[in-house]
Amino acid sequence: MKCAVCGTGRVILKRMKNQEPVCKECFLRCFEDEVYEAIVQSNLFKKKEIVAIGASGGKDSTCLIHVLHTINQRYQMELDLRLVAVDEGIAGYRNHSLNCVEENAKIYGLPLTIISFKELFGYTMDEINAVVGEKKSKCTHCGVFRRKALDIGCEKIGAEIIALGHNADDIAETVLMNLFRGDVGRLERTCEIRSGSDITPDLLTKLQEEMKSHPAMVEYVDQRQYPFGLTPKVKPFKYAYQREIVLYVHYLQLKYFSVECTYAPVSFRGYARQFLLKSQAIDSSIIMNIVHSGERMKLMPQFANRAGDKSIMKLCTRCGFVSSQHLCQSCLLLDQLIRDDPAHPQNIDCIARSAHVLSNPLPDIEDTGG
Amino acid sequence: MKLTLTLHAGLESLFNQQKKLELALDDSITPVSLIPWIRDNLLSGDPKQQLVVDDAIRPGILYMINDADWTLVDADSPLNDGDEIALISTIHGG
Repeated sequence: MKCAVCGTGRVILKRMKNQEPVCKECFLRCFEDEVYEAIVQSNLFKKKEIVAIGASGGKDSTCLIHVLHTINQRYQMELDLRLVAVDEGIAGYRNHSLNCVEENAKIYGLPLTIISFKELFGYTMDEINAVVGEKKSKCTHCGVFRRKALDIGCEKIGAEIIALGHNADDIAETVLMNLFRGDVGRLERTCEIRSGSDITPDLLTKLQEEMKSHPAMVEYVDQRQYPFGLTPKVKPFKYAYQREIVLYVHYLQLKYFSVECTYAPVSFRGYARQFLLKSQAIDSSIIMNIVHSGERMKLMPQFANRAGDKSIMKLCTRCGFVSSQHLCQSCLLLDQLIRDDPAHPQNIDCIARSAHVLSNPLPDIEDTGG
Repeated sequence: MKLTLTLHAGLESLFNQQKKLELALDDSITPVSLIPWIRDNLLSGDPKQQLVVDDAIRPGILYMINDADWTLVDADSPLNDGDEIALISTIHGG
């Protein structure tokens, strides 16, 4: 059996999408080109744009950095790629994975910005764990705070868009989890290749008016058109299978960190994942079938959940980030933490902290010409 | 026959943090029979189930022979001296 693409190479795998046998070189090239096609078809990036890549040191973001860097050069995309990482403050986990990110930043000559929970929220995840308790899940805190930290990271480097490493398996898992939980309001956003920026001109005008009278936002009114928290998020790996991502980083011997998070619970996601893995053994197209199904589902208006309803979007009365409620999720969680924290260390002024993180000078970047 | 077994993406934790093992095996061992052999000779306790389910490699773990997916080789023909076996987990967060 010879490679179906070049006709000569030694076959090393069958492609997940069509069972086509391919050699190593053709697999790597096809994988990269398919990501490029997804980017072009969905018009994800503009030339000269500053594109942040959310980098965790894990396989997906490590692969995304390599692929975006490669196709950016191959197809003269002229993207200004930068890395943004979040230090949640999880000893024995994030510090090691951030080493991988730092190494990658050097290898590709991409500037790296690290935003830390401690700096931004006054708490590390380890400290949050101590307040919340071992038994309760910390993943909500981590997720909500990480989204805000990534947004602040984008603001800091002037990125107009952020690319994340979510792959097709992740999306299929999330679709199943939402169905299992009856939380269908999130389905549409889960499956979008691009999210966060689709607001109407009327809503934008309303938010801009709110900015002018918002104590935390008024100083930014002249500098920016959009309020904070609307950085579009894109998923260039939406159609990439996890299995092929792992093989890609394996063949190229990219350095990544593969330890599970200290606080990862025996999670609901785990059930969805096991179910998908078993199903895939029967039919490898199941993952993409779920992604496509999710894409085609549209909720009737009476079932769309409030968080997904853009028309009610406003500014968080405290921090000024866009929110569906009076206070954003991040400010609500922080209030709860301070209430539950017997040590109650400080009155955490999240506005001053954000402003401080934003105004810190960026570290000098060595120009490697990459 | 002698084989090299390498463990990737967290699987080394099932093998006392060893990333690479040299195996000396009976010449009749095949891609199919290698997996229960690894379970019975190299693992004990929980790691057995974490690597092997129903005598086959657990779903979500890639089983490569000389860099090629094991399903591409003749599953019932013996492996060859010097073959390189790699097991790679795909199941971990980012």
